[in-house]
Amino acid sequence: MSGFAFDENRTPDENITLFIDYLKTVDASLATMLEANINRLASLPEGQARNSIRTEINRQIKSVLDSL
Amino acid sequence: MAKYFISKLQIEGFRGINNENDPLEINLKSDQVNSIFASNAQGKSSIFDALSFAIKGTVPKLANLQQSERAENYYINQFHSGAFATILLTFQPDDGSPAVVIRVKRLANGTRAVDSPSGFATPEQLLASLNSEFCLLDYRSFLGFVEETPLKRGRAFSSLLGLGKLSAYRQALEVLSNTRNVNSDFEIPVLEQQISDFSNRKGRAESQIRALYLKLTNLQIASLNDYGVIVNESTTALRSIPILTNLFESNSILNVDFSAVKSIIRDAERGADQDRLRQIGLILNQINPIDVDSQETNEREILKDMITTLKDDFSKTKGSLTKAHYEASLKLMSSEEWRDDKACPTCESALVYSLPDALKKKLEQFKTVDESHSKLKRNWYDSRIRMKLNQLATSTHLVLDPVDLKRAKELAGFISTAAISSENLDELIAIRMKFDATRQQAISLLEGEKEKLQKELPPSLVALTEQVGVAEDLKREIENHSRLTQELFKTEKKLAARNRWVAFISNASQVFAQAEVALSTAKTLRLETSYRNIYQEITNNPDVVPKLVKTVASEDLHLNLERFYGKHDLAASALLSESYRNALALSIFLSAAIENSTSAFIVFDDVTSSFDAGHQFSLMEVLRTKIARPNNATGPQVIVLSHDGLLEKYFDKISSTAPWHHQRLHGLSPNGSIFTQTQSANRLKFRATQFLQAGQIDQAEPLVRQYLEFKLLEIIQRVSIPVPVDFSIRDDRKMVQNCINAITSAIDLYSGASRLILTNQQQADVTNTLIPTIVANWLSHYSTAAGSSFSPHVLLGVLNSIDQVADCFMYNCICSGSSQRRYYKSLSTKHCACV
Repeated sequence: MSGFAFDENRTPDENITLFIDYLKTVDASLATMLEANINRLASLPEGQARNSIRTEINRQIKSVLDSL
Repeated sequence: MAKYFISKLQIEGFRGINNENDPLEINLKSDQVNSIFASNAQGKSSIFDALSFAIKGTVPKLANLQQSERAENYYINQFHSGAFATILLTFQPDDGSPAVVIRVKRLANGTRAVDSPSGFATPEQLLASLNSEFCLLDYRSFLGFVEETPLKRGRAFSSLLGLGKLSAYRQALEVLSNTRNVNSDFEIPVLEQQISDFSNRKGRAESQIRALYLKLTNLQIASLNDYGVIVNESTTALRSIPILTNLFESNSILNVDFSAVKSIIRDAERGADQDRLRQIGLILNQINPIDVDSQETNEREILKDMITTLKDDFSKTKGSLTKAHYEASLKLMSSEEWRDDKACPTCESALVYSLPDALKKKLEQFKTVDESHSKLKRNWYDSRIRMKLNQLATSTHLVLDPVDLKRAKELAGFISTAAISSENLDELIAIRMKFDATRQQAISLLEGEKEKLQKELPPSLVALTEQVGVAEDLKREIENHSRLTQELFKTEKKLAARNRWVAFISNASQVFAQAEVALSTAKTLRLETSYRNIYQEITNNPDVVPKLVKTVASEDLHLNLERFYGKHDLAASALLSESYRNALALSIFLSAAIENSTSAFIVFDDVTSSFDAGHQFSLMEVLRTKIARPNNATGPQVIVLSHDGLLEKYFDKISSTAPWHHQRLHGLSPNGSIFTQTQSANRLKFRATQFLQAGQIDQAEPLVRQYLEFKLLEIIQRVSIPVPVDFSIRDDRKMVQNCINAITSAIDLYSGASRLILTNQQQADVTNTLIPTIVANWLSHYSTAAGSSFSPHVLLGVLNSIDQVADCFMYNCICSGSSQRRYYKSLSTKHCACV
């Protein structure tokens, strides 16, 4: 168990911020990369072209990882 | 954040609502339950679709159609000449700020345009913020919730709990951490394969280096980590060879020019002469076997015999022209053109024998010639004479007489055409012998040159050449090993970085999922009492107790029954009747709506279809007492759309005793106009009058009917005239008749009891003049659908008559300080003491 939990008294946006903050304690640089990209996928309406967005996100992340 | 209640809805040109230049206008109240009733095909669902299009940007029932149905063409009303649709929404914020008007248009080209006539800066964003799981609910919403897969139901439920964003985030993380996606996008297997390849190739290079080094220096390699020792020892080994010392004085095997090294060795061993010697050997190997052997003598005799046989066979014939003549004659005599076998087709003289038989015998002789020729050609082709002649003629190491070459080719050609003679064959053999003499002369010269070179050349430097070759291979393998080491390092580093991401995103997805499950489970449990109570109130059945079960490891949500007539833990979807499943879904949605008090309004469209009257009543009571304002002070504005006649009775009744705002739709959908009962009666009368004055009876007729219904129902409601139980569910086309019957019966009743408040004149006008006029001029024609017998003047008279009827149920009231006509409170009382 990670020990991370959402706070019932907070809004979804606030809880997502809590989660990203938690991830930053695990790996700050990767958490920042995730934070910068995931909303493009999470805000996509049901049935939209997730695959192309995911591929694009992963392409960008891969490019950054390869330059590390 | 302020809540935006819908205070007015205006629709024109959308779906079944034409209302060209005269929009359907519905006023709604935020502090009361709103109900709108319409008979079938009166535009009720078009209102729901219009709200859906305005708020969600789509109409699901159209969006789900097959592409071939061309749903995009059916948003705009088919009869609207402007070919556009307009939906005007007026919102009243609960924070006291001014009303916001938002206009949503659907244009002929399918585009959606949103603006705000009231000047609201971000109308599209406001509509988006109002779009929630609850705002528009119809029968399909509940049916879908029950019948969906547990995963889709779980995601829909997350949205109901206000956790839709977390669910979307969870799905995004799952997509990003999906093993197959990650492996594919980050090319993990590709990198692993590359690493494996590089490792294998590096291993092979290492083995090569060890073997080559041992061969060159006779030493074993201790470690391959440092190439310095290997290079130094190898260079030293080559430097110790006298002819190479200078070259390796300042160079190592890594930077020396190996072509220069080979050149030095080549010079030392007279390389050009060595090459010539090798070349002579090759030439002799080629031309030595083309000698004359004994088999050729035998072949020569056999071929000569065959030529003699051919010539003999041929001499028995009379030549090839004769053959052609025979063949032509036989063909002619076999045809219909020549019928007499004993007549010569050339000279037509009479014969004593059958000419075709004779011709066949002659042609047999030519067949023998052909067989002899074929045999000769086959033997010639297989002969060693032909093969060796060919080898000699094509050898590039012999210089042959071109005249002989040409003649030999010509003679060989005679064999193909059967023109060969024994003399020709002798001549061909003689040329072959001349070629052989040339060959022997060339061999003699080459042998002499070879002997001379062998005497002059120094001892071979093969061993040294081989040593240099080993050094060159060693250099190449060291470079290869170095390159592979670098590639391997880079690829391993790349894989490590990508695997770091894979581990990170996988962990993130798991952590998020666990946290989301924990949160939604807690919220689900908190809803439990609420949805069970609502379910209980709708169904009034304590033997069925539902339970939502959230799966720990996934987003699945199962609809279970904790109790079912004494049994436990059963599947609700499989067990419950359609109405009970509908009730369960409704209970869950409504409990979630209470929990999430952020929704400003909920529109229900025909959600009671599967309910009987009792359950309909129970549901409406739940909406009124638990969900909607004002009983639930923080609850949403509730708008109920229904076509159910029984339910309308409830609406009618409740609207006179509770904060409930009820309206009825009338009209001519889809090509005419639709109005609410409360929509200006004057407007109905005004438009009907306009049409009648223009002689447009067909357009006026529905408006006249609506106006009659409006005024008669107004009298019934305002004067509290009792109506039969089935009043509202009778044939809609007979509503005017129903109203008149109710009114005249009530007048008779009150009059008989001497309690009628109407003056004698009013009673006489209603019963003796006005009602008979309406019956005669409208009802008797309309009820038989004999509309063609209407005339504009008659219908204008009907409009005036109904106004006069309404006036007969009024008295002059001066309570407000000025005189105004006011309806009686009932058929026996006034509101005040005014006369």
